[in-house]
Amino acid sequence: MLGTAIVGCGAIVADLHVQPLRRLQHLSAVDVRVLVDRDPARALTLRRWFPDARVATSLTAGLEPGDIQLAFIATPPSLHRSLALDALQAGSHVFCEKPLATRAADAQELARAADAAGRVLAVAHPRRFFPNTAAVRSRIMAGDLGEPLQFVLREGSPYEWPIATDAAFRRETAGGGVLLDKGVHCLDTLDSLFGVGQVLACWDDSLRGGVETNSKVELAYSSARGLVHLSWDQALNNGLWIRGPLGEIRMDSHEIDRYHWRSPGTPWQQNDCHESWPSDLTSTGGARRTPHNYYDCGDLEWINLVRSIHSLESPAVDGIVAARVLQEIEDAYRIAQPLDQPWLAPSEQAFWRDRHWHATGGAPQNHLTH
Amino acid sequence: MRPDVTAIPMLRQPRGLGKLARFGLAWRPIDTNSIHTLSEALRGFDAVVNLTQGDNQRLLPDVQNLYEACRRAEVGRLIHLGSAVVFGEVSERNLPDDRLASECRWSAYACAKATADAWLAGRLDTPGPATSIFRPGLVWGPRSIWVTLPVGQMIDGNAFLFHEGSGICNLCHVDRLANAILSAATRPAAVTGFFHLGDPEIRTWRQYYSDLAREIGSDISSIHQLPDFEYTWKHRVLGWKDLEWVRQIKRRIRNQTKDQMKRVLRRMIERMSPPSSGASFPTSPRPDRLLWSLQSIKHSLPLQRFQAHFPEVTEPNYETAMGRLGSWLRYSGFTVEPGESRKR
Repeated sequence: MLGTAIVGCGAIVADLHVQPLRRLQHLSAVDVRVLVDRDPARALTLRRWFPDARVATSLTAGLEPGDIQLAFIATPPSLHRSLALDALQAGSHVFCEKPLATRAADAQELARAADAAGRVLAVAHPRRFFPNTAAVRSRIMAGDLGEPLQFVLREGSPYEWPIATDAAFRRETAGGGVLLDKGVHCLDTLDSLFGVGQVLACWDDSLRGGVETNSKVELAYSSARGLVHLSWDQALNNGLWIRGPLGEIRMDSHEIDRYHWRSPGTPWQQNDCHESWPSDLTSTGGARRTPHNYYDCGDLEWINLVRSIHSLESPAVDGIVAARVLQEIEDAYRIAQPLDQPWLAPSEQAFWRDRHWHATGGAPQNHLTH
Repeated sequence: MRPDVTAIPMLRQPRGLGKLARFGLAWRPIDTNSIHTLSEALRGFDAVVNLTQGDNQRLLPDVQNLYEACRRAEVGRLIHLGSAVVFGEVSERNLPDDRLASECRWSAYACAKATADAWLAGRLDTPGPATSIFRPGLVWGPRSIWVTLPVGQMIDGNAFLFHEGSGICNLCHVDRLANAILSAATRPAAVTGFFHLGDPEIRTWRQYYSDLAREIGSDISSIHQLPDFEYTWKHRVLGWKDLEWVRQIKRRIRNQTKDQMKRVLRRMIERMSPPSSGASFPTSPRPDRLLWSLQSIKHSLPLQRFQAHFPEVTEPNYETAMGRLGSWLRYSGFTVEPGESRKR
């Protein structure tokens, strides 16, 4: 049984992780022993589900020799690196909410530290368990769409996550805006479909002192090229479109077990997906499950983590894979240009260009404070 | 963007900053339940704009607390947003600006809005902040639901119009609303009272939908024409979701359970009315009572009172705004490829 510490007890833990952890606890696979949060009141809210766990205000205070074998880190991203390093150095395996770090170099450092310690470092990317992504990857690899491929991935909706602080909107605590928040999922999905990406261009709307609310990134892969378009403040025509000379695929963001396919000149056809993953801790030939929603994927991801710790398989996203995606995001930030917003009046467009976070000179911005 | 104006967002929840994150603005947390802390937060401001939304049961107390906090903090102006069309009714040609909806338009939220507006109406002549209450038409422009909803339906092939789109579509461009708010907050002399607010150009629903369709590369012929609205058991069931006790239950259901229920419902509906030819996109219009009601309006919103008090608010011109909206629609991926109309 893996003695487990939950580090950071915010909304995402209650919404996505509590139920898988309880199921694993029921199977005697994990034992949640410590709830760590700077705000003890937040940690205490999780005692409802883990009544025997003790509450601590820091990971080092929560770690006792031999007591904790797994640290689940769900704090603001700027704290991931130091907390994960502490946990790895104390001999724990680490499961970290995305993004693994706010800089690619930090993620690489963590991957090296995990390797040196002989511990598992996994990053929460439930989309790796989307049946439609797995099915589409198989079709791409089978050459059903032909080459070269073009793609557009759009993901936009008003920000609704019930966060407790404004840390997600400060560059110093979050590392960036929508590109790091949603983009880390989207680029990981694209990497899983096409391989390693190269950033060709990036446009965003961040002013100095802010983080981007809207972002567009142009990417090239060995056999595909396309655009990722993200927003925290508006609906987009969401989904992933992939088009090749032999066929076209559309994946809607709200239906993870379906995709739509058509050959040139034919109507769209719906394809239900039944890809499955191990759903127990049996070493071979155990039960498998097809997930139908995000929460099912979270369950399977936790099972994947425990199986990885027991050397039954590899983590869906480890430190090296996470660092690669972060490198793409860092490359995008480095070359970001002001987003073209032709629907604004010319004077407003000039305002945005002049005050873009990469622009030099101009009036200083307010900082996000209260 | 105006160097003479400093705007500070005041938010009940940090998540509200998500839409504003690019600006890096200073902000203040507020608790609309507490007049004392609210008045402390508002002290020193010249004007407060009430853009709060949310729980039906909180609408009236929030407005009351905000008004009282402004009074205690000696804030000179309170600008409040009501609604003339979505939560009101344009029932006659010369509708007075302060005529509140006589019925609740089938929504507890509309009832609560009308109650809050009526309470403010009773404060217009009493000592306190000078209160301007704007009652806009359908607010359209980039990011508006009155754009993304019909355009999404057009792309999916299930957009519809009642009465051949002959109803009057009382629109108010978002920039006009923003200009009105800015003017009310900064003009030398405060103006109090209710003001209808809308675009001066009169458009029918058919004209508005034609313009939107043109901007996404489609045309009006792809839109289903419906003779009238039939209120069926399905609408009665769907109407339950607006009942307060249903909303309270929904708030207590875990997101995971909601997600699973939605999926089961979606699959059930698909089994009851499968796609006609194996194609995967919904092609049947799904009319609702609100759109039927809006598309049945026969009168344009009288704007004379607003125009007389705010003559400086003239922008934007409808055609220019629609052209700019088209560039936003294309930016957001709302386009129909040639020969792509999915209507059958």
